[in-house]
Amino acid sequence: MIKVLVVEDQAMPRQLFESIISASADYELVQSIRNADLADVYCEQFDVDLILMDICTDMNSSGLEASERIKKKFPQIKIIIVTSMPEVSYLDRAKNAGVDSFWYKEVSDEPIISLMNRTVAGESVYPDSTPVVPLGQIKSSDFSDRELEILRELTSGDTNADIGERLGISQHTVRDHIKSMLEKTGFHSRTELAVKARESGIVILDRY
Amino acid sequence: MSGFFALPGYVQSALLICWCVLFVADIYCVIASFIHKATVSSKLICFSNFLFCSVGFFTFAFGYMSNIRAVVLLPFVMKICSAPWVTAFLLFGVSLIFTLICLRKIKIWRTEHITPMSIKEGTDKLPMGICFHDKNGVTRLINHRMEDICRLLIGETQFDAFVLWERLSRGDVCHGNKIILSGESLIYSLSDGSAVSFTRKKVDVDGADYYEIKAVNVTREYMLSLNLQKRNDETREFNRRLRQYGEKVDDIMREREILSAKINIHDELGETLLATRNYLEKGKTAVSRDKLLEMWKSNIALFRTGERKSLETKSSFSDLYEAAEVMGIELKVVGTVPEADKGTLRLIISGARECLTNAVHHANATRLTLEIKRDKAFYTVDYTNDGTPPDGEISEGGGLSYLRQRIEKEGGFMSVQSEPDFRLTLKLPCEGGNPNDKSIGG
Repeated sequence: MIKVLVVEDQAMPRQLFESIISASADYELVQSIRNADLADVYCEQFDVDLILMDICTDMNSSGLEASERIKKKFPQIKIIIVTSMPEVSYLDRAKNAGVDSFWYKEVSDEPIISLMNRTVAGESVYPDSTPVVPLGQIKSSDFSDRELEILRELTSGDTNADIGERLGISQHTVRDHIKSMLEKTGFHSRTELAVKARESGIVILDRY
Repeated sequence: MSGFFALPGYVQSALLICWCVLFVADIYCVIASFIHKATVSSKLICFSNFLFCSVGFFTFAFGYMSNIRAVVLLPFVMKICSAPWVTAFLLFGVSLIFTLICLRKIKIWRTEHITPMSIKEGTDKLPMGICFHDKNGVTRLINHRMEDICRLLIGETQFDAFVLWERLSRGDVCHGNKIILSGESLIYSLSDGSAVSFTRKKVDVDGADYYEIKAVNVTREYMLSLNLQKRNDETREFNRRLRQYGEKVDDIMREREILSAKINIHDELGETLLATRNYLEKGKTAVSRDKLLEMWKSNIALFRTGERKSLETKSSFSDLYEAAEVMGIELKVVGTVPEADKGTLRLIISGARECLTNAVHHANATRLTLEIKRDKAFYTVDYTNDGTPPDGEISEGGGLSYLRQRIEKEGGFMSVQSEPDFRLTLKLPCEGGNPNDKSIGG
């Protein structure tokens, strides 16, 4: 039996995963937890073979950071990231962290159980690209990498100077990029742009 | 009597009046030539002309007076007045010409040279206030605009300039005026609605020290800065609301996902019910009996899962208790857990996770104690265990060094004590506290 740890802070998806695992003859649920920061503890104590790891878990603890830690300590454990957020950087960050597979909760055609089987069999299954979502008059794929970086920082509510300092660019460059994004999307203010971007989930700022 | 005396009385009077005017004009020319520091030749011409005109005027004046009453005339006066009447007009004409020449020279000189008066006139026309004073504070030159400003600020226009500057620097001015910026440059908002920038500098004039005080109107710039400040305040307020939104948006998104999951479950159940009805009514269905059974099993399992006590009602810290229990360690917490301060709580849990792991692997401990204290700006969390003390100094491995990075990134501090017992201490800034307040933590 393949021992599975579920890391998911929302009750409904967590219960869905639990029921899928319980209904399967090949998988055994070790534990369901809400906080990715505590996943290592369970990996220490139990012979976990597979983790279904959400990215944004309880108290904003990051499933990606937890995955990176676990992969270093327990390279044999397979990790599948499960998320509904189309944040553009998650795919690359997951690959860099050594995550084995990636599954979008609402968009992926493949059922999770099938992905689990393939991952345990040694496959690394990643979607070709991040889901494209509309944002104003354009799509999320119409932004450049730098624009997405700045858009992510914009959701923090910080000033252009603070954003520029964090990204190592001048505040004027930040201002120009924001202006360009406003023109592309048709939004009337940076606040509207930030709120819509955050609501769509294409950029999510790691706060902690 | 002949010559001048032979002229009609009214002609003599007219001529004398003209001589008188010329005489006054020549006095002016002489004075002007000395005041304006004209060249020697110019002064000589003016003075000579003045003498010539004076002699002529007084000569014919005495001659005229002799007509009115008996006056003893000097011989040369007699001679000149007795000369043909053309002589009088000729002499007058010559004097007139020289006077006109002198006046013209003076006019040209005045247009080509700056006089103290022209300096005063020029400064009075300046839009800014300007004042020059000497090293004793005595005002040497002040224009109207500066006088108006001083009247508004200190209520007077006669003052010691050093005292004026000192009062301006202190903000000791009349009610209704407000200092906006102090320092080398002073900016005031005046009671008349304008804004003025004062600067002072030392100037050297022919080796003597003087001070120049300028008062420049910066009303437009001040209004723009007020407008900018207002917009910055609005932007800060927008940013604050955006940050608040960022903190709540996860909950909003979570609710959306929950709703989406509920809809999925509802649809699955609905599909199962429809399939069952079809099977019962018609004996055949799009799905097989086994598949139908599987669908029901899945739905029932889901309901059974929902019967369990919802994890949502548990606090975040309770997960840590469970994790400790899993590791066979009793977790004891002394002090108040900051449940509302999510950032700090997360770091506390991260520290506990490291200590749990190390307590099990290295210390063989059965209890981990967290002591949480709070002051104005920091939470101090001490982690200790009841296991075997470390042998020697602890070197921070991957877990502890990663923890340190995160703590320090959030403006906190971390220290690891190896002797006599293990103690990990975290100092974490609390929300609303000032981590730069060195008098408190750090």
